[in-house]
Amino acid sequence: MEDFRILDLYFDRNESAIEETDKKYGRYCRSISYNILSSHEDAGEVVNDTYLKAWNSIPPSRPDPLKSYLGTITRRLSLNRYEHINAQKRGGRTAVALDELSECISEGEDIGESVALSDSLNRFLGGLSRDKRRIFLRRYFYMCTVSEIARDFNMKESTVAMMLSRMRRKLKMFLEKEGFFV
Amino acid sequence: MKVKDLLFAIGNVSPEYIEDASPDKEITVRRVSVKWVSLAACLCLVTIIGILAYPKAKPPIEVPPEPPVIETPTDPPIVENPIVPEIEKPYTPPENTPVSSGADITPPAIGGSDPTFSRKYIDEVYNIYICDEIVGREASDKWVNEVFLKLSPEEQEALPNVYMMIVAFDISKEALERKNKELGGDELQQSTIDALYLEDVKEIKRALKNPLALYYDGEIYTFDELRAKRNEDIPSDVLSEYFDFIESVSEENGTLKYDLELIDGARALYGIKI
Repeated sequence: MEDFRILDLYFDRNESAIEETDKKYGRYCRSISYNILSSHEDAGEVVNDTYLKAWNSIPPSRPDPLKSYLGTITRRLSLNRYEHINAQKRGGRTAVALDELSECISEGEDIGESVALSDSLNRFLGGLSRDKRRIFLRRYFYMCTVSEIARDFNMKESTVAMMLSRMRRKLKMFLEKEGFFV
Repeated sequence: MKVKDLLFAIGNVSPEYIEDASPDKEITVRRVSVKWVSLAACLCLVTIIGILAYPKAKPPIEVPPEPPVIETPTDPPIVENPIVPEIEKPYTPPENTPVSSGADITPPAIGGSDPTFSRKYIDEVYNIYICDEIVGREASDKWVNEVFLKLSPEEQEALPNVYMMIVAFDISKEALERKNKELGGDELQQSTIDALYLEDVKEIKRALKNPLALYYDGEIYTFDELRAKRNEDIPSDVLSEYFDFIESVSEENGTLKYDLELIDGARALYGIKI
């Protein structure tokens, strides 16, 4: 079903909106959540929560594209759950991604969800080539492993790892320039 | 700023970027295939002719940040791969540099199956795309099929692939720099280009060494190579220091729990106490 038809179902408060959303984007959302949580059970619950959030926010929202809207909600809910579950023990691909990203920042106060930071990231990503941007987001948005990325992009794992390493370095310099570590 | 701030902020980037990077989206990448990338390494054979033809009078060039390097205390005998010609200039080994010091490393993500443990050189010099662009795909294909593929795997890995092509096709530094600029400047770092044009092959190898590999006595050894088969040429104190270095990098990357078994296995192979 086309996105606009699914959105119409939400606007009509027709519960089949959820069913159609799941048919079209369920797998996508579950894969995002599973990549973060490494648990099918938790991923299933998070995806249900995602649908609930979507149900509560549409209307008035009319997200376009719907896919990335759902993906963003799923990711955020999954990270929240990851933090909750892993307050003591850490593990899995998310922990590795977090460790990698820690190279890009300097220790400091918790700044919470910063619009300015997201804007800066958009500028940073806009300055990358399309392939590099996709690889960066595959790793740090979708939490795909280096080997998964290498397979999809027909590249060597070491090449992907090295590209990510360089991008992290560039991001750190970029954020410094933007004044985030002052 | 905390790392989770960054992680959450990445979640709020442009929906277009998120959609474009989606794992269920088909990827069409103009890339040199894996086969091609490794093929380039073969230029070893051609190096003989190439190096002879290569102009020798080049100014000394700054070498990129020093990766972990181990040298023997005394001037070691030069044992080169037979397919690599000797350089006229006498080789002067640099000062001893312990593995754990002098290492300017940005550790790549490593893990049990990550090929960074099996590569001799930095990744940039395996990607011959830039050389393809200079010499033309047809010439490059011909060389790969008729020269590179006929080399043994060891010969293919003996020298940086890009260097092999530079030698085989007599690509000048200027041409490489020009093409690199045309391609956006991202294919090769300037320090890599500079290193590719050093006069001494040993220096080239050392300068372009994979940060996770071991340079000893003019040769490069990968972790996978060292743990797979006992090497009698390297003193155990050097290996001990190297394995400690690998462990520290792994720890820094948060992958030690996956790698420790391999590292300890390597130590055991050489009778090195943990």
